[in-house]
Amino acid sequence: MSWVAVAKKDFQDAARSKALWALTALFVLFMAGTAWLYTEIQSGGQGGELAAIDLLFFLLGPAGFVVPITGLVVGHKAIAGELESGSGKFLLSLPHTRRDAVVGKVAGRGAVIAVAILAGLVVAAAVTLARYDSFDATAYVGFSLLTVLLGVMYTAIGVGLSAVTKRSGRATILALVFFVVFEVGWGLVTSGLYYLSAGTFPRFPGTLPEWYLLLNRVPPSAAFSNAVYQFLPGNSTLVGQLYPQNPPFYLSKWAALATMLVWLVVVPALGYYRFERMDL
Amino acid sequence: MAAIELAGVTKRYGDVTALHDLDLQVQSGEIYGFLGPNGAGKSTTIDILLDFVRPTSGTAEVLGYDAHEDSLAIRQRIGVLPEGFHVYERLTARQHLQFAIESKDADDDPDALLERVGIPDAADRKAGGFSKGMQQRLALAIALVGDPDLLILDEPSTGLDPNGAREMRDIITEEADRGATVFFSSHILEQVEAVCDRVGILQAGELVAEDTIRGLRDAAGTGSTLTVTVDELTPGVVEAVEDVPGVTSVDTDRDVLTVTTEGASKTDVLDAVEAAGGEVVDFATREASLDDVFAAYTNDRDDEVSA
Repeated sequence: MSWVAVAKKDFQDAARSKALWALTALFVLFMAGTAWLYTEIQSGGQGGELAAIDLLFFLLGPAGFVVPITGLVVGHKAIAGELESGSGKFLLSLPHTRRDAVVGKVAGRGAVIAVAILAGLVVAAAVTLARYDSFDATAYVGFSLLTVLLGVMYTAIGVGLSAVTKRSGRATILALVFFVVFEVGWGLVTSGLYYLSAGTFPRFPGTLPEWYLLLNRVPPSAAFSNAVYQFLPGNSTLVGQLYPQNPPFYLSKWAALATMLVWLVVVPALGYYRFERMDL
Repeated sequence: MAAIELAGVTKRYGDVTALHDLDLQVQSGEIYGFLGPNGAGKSTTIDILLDFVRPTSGTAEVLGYDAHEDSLAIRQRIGVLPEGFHVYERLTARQHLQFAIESKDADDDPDALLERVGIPDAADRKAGGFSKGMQQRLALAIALVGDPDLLILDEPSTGLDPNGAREMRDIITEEADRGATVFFSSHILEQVEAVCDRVGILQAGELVAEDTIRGLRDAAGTGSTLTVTVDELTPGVVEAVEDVPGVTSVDTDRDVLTVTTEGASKTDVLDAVEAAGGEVVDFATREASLDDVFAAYTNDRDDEVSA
C-alpha cells in the first residue's frame, strides 16, 4: 500500500503549486464558459427549449480535446522529471517499489486533474440550473464521471510514457507523438487501411465494415466520446444508426467504457515494464 | 553478519566499465569510509546497493538480503543520504519527513529530527528555498527516520560548512554508538579519517586498498616525515642521516633536510645530524595524512597505467 504515501505526497506537491489552481481555473472557465456561451448561441437562434443534455453534446468535442492535452501535461513528467531532477533518489531510496511509484503517481496526479475537472463541471452545472429550461441530472452525472475518467486516463497515459525514460525532454516528445498519432492522425490510419482493403475511401453513412468502425473507436478520446454518446439518451452515433437495436458487443457502450479502462491500465503497465528494467 | 557484501561485482555501461570485479565487505556495526576520486565508481556501488542499477555480474547483499530481489526489505531497514538529490521544492521540511515516516511506517517526530540536524526553525518552510547546506541537513534527517540498521551516506558533507561537517560527524558517531552500521563515501579525507573504523579506496572501479587508517598508512609506506633545519648543511650530514636504519629517503633544500622514515625515530635522526657535525636549528615531524596515503595509492596506479 505504499503507493498511497506516494500519491499523497504528489497531490500535496501539486496542491501547493500554481499549476493546480491554474488548471482548475482553466476548467471552470472552459466548462462554465461553454455552458453560458451555449445559451447565447441557442437563444439567438431558434429560441427553442434549452436542454442541458444538448449542452453536454456541445461540450463533448472541445472536452475531448482540452482534457487529453491537460492530462498529458499533468502526467508526462511524473517519473522522468523526478529522475532527471534527483528527487527520485529520495522517492526510491525509501521503501517504495517502482510499481508503487508509478501507481502512486497515477493516483496522485489523477486526483489533481479530477479535482480540476469536477470544479469546472460543478460551476457549469450551476450556470445550467440557472439558465436552462431542463436539467437531466443523471445524464449530467454520467457525463461528469466519463469526463473525469478521460482526465485520469490521459494523466495515466502521461505517467506511463514518463516512466520509459530518464529525460523529461524525451517524455515530452513521447507525449506529443502519442497525441499526434492517436488524436490527430488516427483518421488517416483507419482511412488508409480502408483504402488498402476496399480501393476507395470510406463514405458515410454507407455500409462500413465492423473492423473499420471498431478501429475508429480505439483512440482514448474516441472511446470517451462514443461512451458519452452511447450512455447518454439519444442514440446519435454512427453505430447507433447502423445498429438501431443491438450493436455487436465490441461496438457497445460497455466496450467503449472498457476501452477507456484498458488505456488507463495498459500504458502505465508498459511504462512500468520499462522502468522496472532501467538503470536509474 | 556482514552489513554489506559485494562479491565479484562488475558493472558495465556499454564500453565503459564502472566497476570491475569488486569484492567488498562491511561488518555490522562498523563505520566504513568509502574513498575515491570522482568517477571511481563510488556512486555506482551505492546505486547497486539501492537497486537503482543492476550489476552486469556478481552479487550484492545488504543486511543479508539480495540487493535486487529483496530491495524493499533493505530499504525498509536502511537510511540513505543520496548524492545529487533534489528536494521537493514545494514541500516543507516537515512534509518531507512525514512522507519518509509514512513510507517507512515509522513513528519519529519530525521536529525532533530537524532539531537533531540543526534546522528546527525550518520545519514549515518550503525546501525549495533552502541553502545547499540546509538541504543536506534535511536529507540527513530523512536518512535517520526509523532508526535504520544501516546508514548509507553518499558524500554527506557536500555543501556543509566546517561546523556543519563536524555536526555531521557527531551524528555519524552517535548512530554508530546506537549500533547502526555506517557506510559513507567521500573524497574529503579528513572526514573519513576523523570517524572511520575502516577505509576502502576505490580507484577506476577497483578496490585498491582496504584497511584501518593506521594499517593503510603503514601499507602505503609513507611513514612519517621529519623536517630538520641545520645551520650549515654538509654532504657528511646528509650521508650520516641516510645511514640511519629505517630512513627511506632524504631530500635537501638549502639548509633543510626532509627525511622520510619508517621506523627510525626522531632522536636517531637528530643524533646522526649532530654526530656528523651539524647543528640543529629547528625540526618538525609530520605524520602521513590520509591524503598522502591516497596519493600514494592512486599515483602508483597511474604510473602502472602509463608504464
